[in-house]
Amino acid sequence: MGGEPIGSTGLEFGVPRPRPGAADCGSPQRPARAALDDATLVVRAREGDVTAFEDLVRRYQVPVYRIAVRILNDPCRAADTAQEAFVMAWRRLPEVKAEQAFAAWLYRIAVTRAVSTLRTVRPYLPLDETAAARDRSPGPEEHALADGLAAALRCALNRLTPEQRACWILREMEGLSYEEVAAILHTTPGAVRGRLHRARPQLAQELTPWR
Amino acid sequence: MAVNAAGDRLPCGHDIDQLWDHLAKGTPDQHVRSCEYCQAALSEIRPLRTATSELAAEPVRPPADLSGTVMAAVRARIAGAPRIALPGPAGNRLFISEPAAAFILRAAGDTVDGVRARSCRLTPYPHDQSISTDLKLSISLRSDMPALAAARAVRTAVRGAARAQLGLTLGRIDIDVVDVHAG
Repeated sequence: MGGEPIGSTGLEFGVPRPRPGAADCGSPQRPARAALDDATLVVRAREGDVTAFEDLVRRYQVPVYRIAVRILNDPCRAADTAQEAFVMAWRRLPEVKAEQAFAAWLYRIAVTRAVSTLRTVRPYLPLDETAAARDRSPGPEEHALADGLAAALRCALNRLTPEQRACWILREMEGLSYEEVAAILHTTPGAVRGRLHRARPQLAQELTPWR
Repeated sequence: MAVNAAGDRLPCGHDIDQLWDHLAKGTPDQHVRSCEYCQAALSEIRPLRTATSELAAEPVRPPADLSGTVMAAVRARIAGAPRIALPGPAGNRLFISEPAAAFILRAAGDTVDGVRARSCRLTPYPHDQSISTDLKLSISLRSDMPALAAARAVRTAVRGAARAQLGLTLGRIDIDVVDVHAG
């Protein structure tokens, strides 16, 4: 799915697209170039301008890494995934047809890799597993004592399928529209709604002690 | 949760998706505020909304060397780019890669107010000593800029940069305004 031309979605992301230069996490030596729009940087990078691509990497490294680490819940694997996604994006720049939708295209590559990695490293544990399975990880009560509500949700998200988890993170935490999430996950907005709808009671159940 | 068999509609007619949106926006309507079914359902999903907001608000920082690592990998994958021969005495040929020459010419285009140079394609004239290369340059123009004046200024800028920094004499310079951006 990451291999499709950018023009296939027709989407231009409003959220969580960073402001030009806002996500720059270092090397502030080229502020002027960092202010260029995505389309200009993509065209330049596609013609071999490495510094233009570097500006895109600096602009999007925060959201790409953040999405990866939220899906994978593992900083090391998230860093690897983000790196692989950017390098793949560089190789596939010639496929980009609608330069202004670069963010959608890049997020699709990153999410695809993260979900793929998640399937490889840890088969998901359904929420309706037996009590014995639940005993293998801390329950909500233990989280209440230790880390609190957010930590309990993080634990509960681990029990969703990779696709459900990606939907929850992109829609509920990154604030993307159903259409944007669907484009990233190569599915329909209706399917996204369905996944979220099924995930919600499962997650709510895990947070019962906080009602 | 007091919902019907489909799992999404309350006896009062509201569904969980609506209530979830109410929670997200913080704008429950009169019905939701007074309906016992809605209030019961809200009490069940409110912790999830709170937890989701808390988790989303947690700052996430990528490793400090992420962009450096990416760019090292990218540079290691750069294939040989087309080269352009710069004017010079026979036997002492000097070449420049097309991306490097394009970088210089785009930078010259960028110096014109309201112009962002995009695609930059050079077509060398290997057999014409008076003209080195033709240029096709696409640009994005700020919406308040007159195209003709901007194109004239861009031609002057890139021709000057080509001569001063590369020793190239540009022949035909085609400028294509492909986009307009706001100020």
